[in-house]
Amino acid sequence: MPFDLNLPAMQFPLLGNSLAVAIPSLLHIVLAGLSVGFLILAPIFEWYGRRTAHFTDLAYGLTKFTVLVFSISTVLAVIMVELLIGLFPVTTMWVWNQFRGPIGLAIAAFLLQFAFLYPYYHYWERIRARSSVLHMALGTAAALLMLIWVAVLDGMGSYMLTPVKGASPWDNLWNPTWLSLGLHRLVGELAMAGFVIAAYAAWRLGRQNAEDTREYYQCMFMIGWLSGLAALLLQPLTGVIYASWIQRAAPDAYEQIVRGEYRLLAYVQFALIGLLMVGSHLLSNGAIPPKRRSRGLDVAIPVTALLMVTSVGYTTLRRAFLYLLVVLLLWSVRSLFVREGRRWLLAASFKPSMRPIALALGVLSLLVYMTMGTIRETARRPYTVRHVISLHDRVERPTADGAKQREASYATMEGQE
Amino acid sequence: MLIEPLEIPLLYGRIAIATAALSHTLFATFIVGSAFMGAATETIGRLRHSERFERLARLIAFALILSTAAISFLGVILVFCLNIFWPHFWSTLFRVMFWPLLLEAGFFLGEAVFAYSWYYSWDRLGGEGRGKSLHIALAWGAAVCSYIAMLMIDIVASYMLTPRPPQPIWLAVFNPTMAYLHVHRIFGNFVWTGLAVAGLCAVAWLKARTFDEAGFYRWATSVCVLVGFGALLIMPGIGYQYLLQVRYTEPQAFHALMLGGRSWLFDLVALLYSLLVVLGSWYILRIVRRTAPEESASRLIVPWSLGILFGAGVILAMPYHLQHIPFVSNVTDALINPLGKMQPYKYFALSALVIFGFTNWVFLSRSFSQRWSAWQDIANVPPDRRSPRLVLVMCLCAVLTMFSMGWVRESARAYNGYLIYGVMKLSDEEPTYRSADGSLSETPSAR
Repeated sequence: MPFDLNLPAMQFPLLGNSLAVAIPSLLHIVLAGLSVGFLILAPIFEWYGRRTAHFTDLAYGLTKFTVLVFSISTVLAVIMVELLIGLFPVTTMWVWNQFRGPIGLAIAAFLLQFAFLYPYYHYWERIRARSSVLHMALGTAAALLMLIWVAVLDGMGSYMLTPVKGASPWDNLWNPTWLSLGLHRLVGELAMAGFVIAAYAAWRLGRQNAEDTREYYQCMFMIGWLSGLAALLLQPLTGVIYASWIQRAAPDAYEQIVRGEYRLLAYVQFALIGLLMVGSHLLSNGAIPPKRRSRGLDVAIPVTALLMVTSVGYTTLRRAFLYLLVVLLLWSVRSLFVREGRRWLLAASFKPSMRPIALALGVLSLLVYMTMGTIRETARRPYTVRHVISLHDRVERPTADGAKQREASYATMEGQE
Repeated sequence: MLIEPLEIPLLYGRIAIATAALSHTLFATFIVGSAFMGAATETIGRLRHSERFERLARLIAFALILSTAAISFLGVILVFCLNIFWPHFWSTLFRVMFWPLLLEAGFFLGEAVFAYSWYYSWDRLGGEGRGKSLHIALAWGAAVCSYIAMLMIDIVASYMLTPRPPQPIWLAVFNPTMAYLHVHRIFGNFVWTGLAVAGLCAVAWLKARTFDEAGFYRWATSVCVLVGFGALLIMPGIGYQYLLQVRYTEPQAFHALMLGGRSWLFDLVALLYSLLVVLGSWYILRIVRRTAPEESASRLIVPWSLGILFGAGVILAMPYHLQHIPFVSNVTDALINPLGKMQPYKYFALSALVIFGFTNWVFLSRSFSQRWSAWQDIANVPPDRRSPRLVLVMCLCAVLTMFSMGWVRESARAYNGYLIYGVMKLSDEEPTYRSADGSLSETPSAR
């Protein structure tokens, strides 16, 4: 009966292999990114909830979302992995085998995270009644364990762009762009989480609400918006750190991002960031009385955002405009607070006119997150693992001998680093 | 290409994959069974306006969403393990079974969406009227999606034992044992899920602090035992057909299981099956003794039936080739146990288990009739701690049966050294573990 089981390489009908993998991947990272952001924010909000009950309610809501979308997000990940194995078997197998040890750790951390997250959510009141500190510790432990899982996945993702010839899988994790990617993504997740919370609250505020619920959603809007804004203002800094590591370790990949075939994506990304900042300024304007608004900023922020987008191909200029934009936005946000004695107090409130802007910012933050993911993937093209495996899922073979060609490909990479 | 050998014994990989696969399977099968049971109980609850069925449906739904979360991650672990420990096998099988595996994941996504919507919309939609119909539709949506996902996995699992040329794909999909394995698993899922939910209810029954709680969980335990025990009695017929097909298609594999080196595993399955039927009947006997009307025939029949089942169970569990059982050689030199022969002893024993088990099941189902009033006046019934414990032992036996049955099926291939029967051997994975010349191992696609 023996017959040959080796089939020719697969081509996914209609979509093509790359797009077939991209769709579930993007859907997965949005849900997973939001979940990570919420998981981190939940125990922090619960801590603040000791003074304001709304924070505790929000922490519960965020955890509920995480638990609810957990399976869906994981199944999307399974679909993504299955597509990767079917359509890019060499890449998948190779990358996973470079990370055997870290994957083991990540799995253990994730399983343990389960053991903390589920009691944290399902026995919320029961555990809090016994000890709120224990309950917060459960949430914090779940968040930290989730970060281990994310860190290992970031290691694999960054390794595909900047592979190193590590002596062990743990050394592979320590590739040039690992930490900077991890930091950039973490802050991005917090920004996205914040803006999505604000968007949801704004949406709920547009519907019929009882007075106490209305107060809760107003509070939720402010918490979400300010968290998102804080992370957004931090993000240009982490972005520059990440970009400079790419520039150092893989200059051709950096060139490809800003001036290459896929530079349109970089323009889209900066346009979205610009819109996020302009939108945040508009929200800030909406939240304060007219007399405290600045006319100058109303012009300066959109103009600087526009200049930033047009200068995407010119790194120094673009960065200068980006930082100017951050400073201007900080100035705009300053008007949200008033000084009372030694303390700064938030003097802003939700108004119906802010609702569409908040909703738009929620959508924009999701789009920024997805575009960034797409940019990172296209930076490797025409490779799946830069200079090691091609997009056609073939090993780059400068020499016939397997061991020698591997050495040669690593030598190329090391030279570039 | 480029893969550093693992430099560990092949056995470690087998253990890792077996552990991941068995734990994954335990939850996966539970999901299919509980989705159907949950949908059916909610539907019955609505048709009969029964709050008890509604409450049971909600309990099942909660168990379902917890297992959905667990299984989605256990699935990721299994895929990780397969890719790391058996990369050649996995990439080859994946290429052949790309569409079934992708559809399986897609339908599992559907199951997760429906199941979560079902459970978390209970307060909003679970009342009466149109909302309730939509709510029940969500439950059935989850059930249908989980069923199709299972069908896809059965295609892959059966293909590994009875493979056919990969193209055209229909030859591989409709391989000789696909339909048999599928039907076997459907009923197997109901056995396992029925007894697992019964086990959960039994724990709650033991922990109950009020008459209301104790009454509900006692009733719910019996309903779930009714489902699990009923499906259990259908299994031998389906299993027989499945084995016949294996015998005709892969006689070597059949021989290894029934008469060869792994026949002891099948004896273990027979022992567990017998235990399940006997314990289930014992549970029924306890219900009969406590609640059956004095004139009921069950008071006479069930004790006798239990005695016969015990004898039949002993015969069914007896091994034939004694020396195939690990460590038996230390006890006896005898090669054959004549009473363990399939024809005629075990056939008679199996028939007895099914016929008398079914008789007892009929009495259990009759206990739900108005005449028995077994579940109504809990306050007048003395507390019962032994019955829920019996159910817990049954639940444990069901878990062990699932594990050993999975092991049996995998053994049918692995005993003869195959990962995909007759086509791909376990030894093909050796380069993943160590390379003879010290160089790196290659992936099949790069060869």
